[in-house]
Amino acid sequence: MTPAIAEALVAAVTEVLEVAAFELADLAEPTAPPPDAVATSLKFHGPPSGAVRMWIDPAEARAFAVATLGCDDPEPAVVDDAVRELTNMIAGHVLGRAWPDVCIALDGAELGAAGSVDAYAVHFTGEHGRIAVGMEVTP
Amino acid sequence: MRLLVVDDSAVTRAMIKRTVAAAGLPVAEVDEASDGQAAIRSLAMRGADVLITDLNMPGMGGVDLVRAVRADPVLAAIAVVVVSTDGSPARRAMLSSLGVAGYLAKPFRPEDLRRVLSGVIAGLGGAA
Repeated sequence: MTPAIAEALVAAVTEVLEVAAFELADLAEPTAPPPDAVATSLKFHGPPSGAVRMWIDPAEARAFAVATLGCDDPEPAVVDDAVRELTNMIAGHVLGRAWPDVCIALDGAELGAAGSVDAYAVHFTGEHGRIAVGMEVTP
Repeated sequence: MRLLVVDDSAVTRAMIKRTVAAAGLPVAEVDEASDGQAAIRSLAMRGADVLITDLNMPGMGGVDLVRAVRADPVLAAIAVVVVSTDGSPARRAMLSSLGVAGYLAKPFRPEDLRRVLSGVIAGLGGAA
């Protein structure tokens, strides 16, 4: 991953959390995803093509759903939907700025198992837990 | 004024409906659909003055939905607002060529959605 894309990921996570959930997140040292992390992946097709991957601590995921929906006790399916949409927003933010002259198609974000720590380029500590995001690009 | 919100994310549909309800816009009813095909069925049965749609959805996506609406003489006059994560200038230019009246990138602030919808509704002759 290029430094420019890593910078774009940092900007995307920071802005999306602030605008959608009124939350400030700080950059953190890389850590392995915990066993109960909520993990997503989203493929995109251009060129360029590739995938955005994210994992998030369950408490942070739930806090994001609460903040975006304004409800106190979201169902697990609602939290999962919110995390998929968070991934979607981060991916769109990065791709629209990194390749502004290209119409890139995004698949829906899918829940799955988290990858190894190397799959995530940027790590954050939010108010309720950690978030990590990475992107791989195929020219 | 009737709105139709089209997004495969129930969370995003709820966010938009919550913002519309709080914005004080002259909107009587807000319908929902989870993809383009469901939106077409809803429009055929209930109609709408403003269509708010995502782009990337399973099945019929937002671009095909807008094209279908524009090609239907009964539906062609519906104002379309796109709310999507895909905010590239290239995509916005393509949507403009389809006659999309407003565009908002996700994530959006409530005041941004209110501003866009106010302008669109004013253009339809409604008080915003």
